[in-house]
Amino acid sequence: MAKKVKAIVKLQIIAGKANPAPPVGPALGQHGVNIMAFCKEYNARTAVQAGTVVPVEITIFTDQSFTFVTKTPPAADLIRKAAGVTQGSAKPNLDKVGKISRQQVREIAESKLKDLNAYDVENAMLMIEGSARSMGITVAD
Amino acid sequence: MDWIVISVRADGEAAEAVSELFNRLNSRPDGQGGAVTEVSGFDPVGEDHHPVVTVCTYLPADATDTPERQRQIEEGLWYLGRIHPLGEPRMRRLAEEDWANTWKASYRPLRIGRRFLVIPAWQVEEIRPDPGDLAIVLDPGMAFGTGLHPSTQLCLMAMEAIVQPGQRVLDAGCGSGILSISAVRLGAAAVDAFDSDPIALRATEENAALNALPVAIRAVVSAGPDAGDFWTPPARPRPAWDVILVNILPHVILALLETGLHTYLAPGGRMIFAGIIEEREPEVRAALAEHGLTVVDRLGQGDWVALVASAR
Repeated sequence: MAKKVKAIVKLQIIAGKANPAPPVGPALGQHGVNIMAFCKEYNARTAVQAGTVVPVEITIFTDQSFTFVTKTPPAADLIRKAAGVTQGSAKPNLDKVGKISRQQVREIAESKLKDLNAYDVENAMLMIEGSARSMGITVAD
Repeated sequence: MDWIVISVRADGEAAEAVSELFNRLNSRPDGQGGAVTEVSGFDPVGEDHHPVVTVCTYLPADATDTPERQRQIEEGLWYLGRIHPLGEPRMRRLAEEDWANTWKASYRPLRIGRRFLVIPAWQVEEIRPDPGDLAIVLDPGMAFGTGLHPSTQLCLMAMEAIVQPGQRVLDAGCGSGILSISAVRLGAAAVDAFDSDPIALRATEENAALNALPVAIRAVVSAGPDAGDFWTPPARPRPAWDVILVNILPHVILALLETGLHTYLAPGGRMIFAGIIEEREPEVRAALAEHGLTVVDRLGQGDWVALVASAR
């Protein structure tokens, strides 16, 4: 019988640098997951990507066991890079800090497609545009 | 140490925006802070018909910049709330002991190999080892080496076949001390250990004391991997050890070989390398060959590998 899922936890961790301090420790520890076992696995599997942020999605089962998959870099990182800005806006509805082209949105959507809950690239593009808007970055035609 | 947790309920798209906000306003160079997105609310058969998405971030309660970061986060959430529907942000204080020990409830005595029995320190009164068992009482705390991981288990299985009474053993990257203690249980006459993490050293010393070992483990803190110098070879005559254990990760194994760790191996001695994911095995094998080591045995579990090597 398949194991029952208790929670899914998503984290952004620097490759090879997971340690039991927050956010990893409390995020997993409160569900009874063996924190050091996760850190060891994550660090081993991401060692070759050292220095980059590798998001991870951890599925925790009711028996405290877990599995995880690593994901493509966060959309926000890709948007920031495309817009050439170091950070998003603190007041995204008022202050715009940069812009990206529709073509750039398409490229980001294509690279993230397998990790997004989208049927096709057009749908994924809408999600990326939404993320850009939340960061005070406009999409220009 | 206490932490301030700020959490907010959000739907799918808003969760991404809140996560970005937390990562932007609360990421520290050491990787602490950041954002955690949790999906819960699964029904009894594990389906998420009505998932609850919560995004949270952790601020060290006693850091001087925490009040300012907290203010920025609250302000950022307010602005984000103008674009996306967000729940009311919640703040609470969290102590390390609230989460650091929760997993212990599911940590049970564990048999490894033919004779090892790993007993959690908090269950030592309830467990009676069988005659012939090599008991290892362990409280790993926040150090690596619970005995649950395949790499540690492979190492212990290899040790059972290799470590002989009276031998000298080195445990490189000792973590909780599980391998050092096991070496003493197998009859080692001298055990040295090092780790780059002071927490690990403390754990090794405490676990050695829990086991009332007949032989003292001499453990030292080595330079950390970020210092580019994993280990300062001790001022002692070569050869120094009959068995050298390296249960870490491939890039550390490679760096340790560069420091000449293998040159301390006694003639006829063995090195056990573990913590190797199968896909990186060729890289480790190439490095061993380059440093004059011959692989004489290979153990595998899942996609984890341990290699036993001797000097040519």
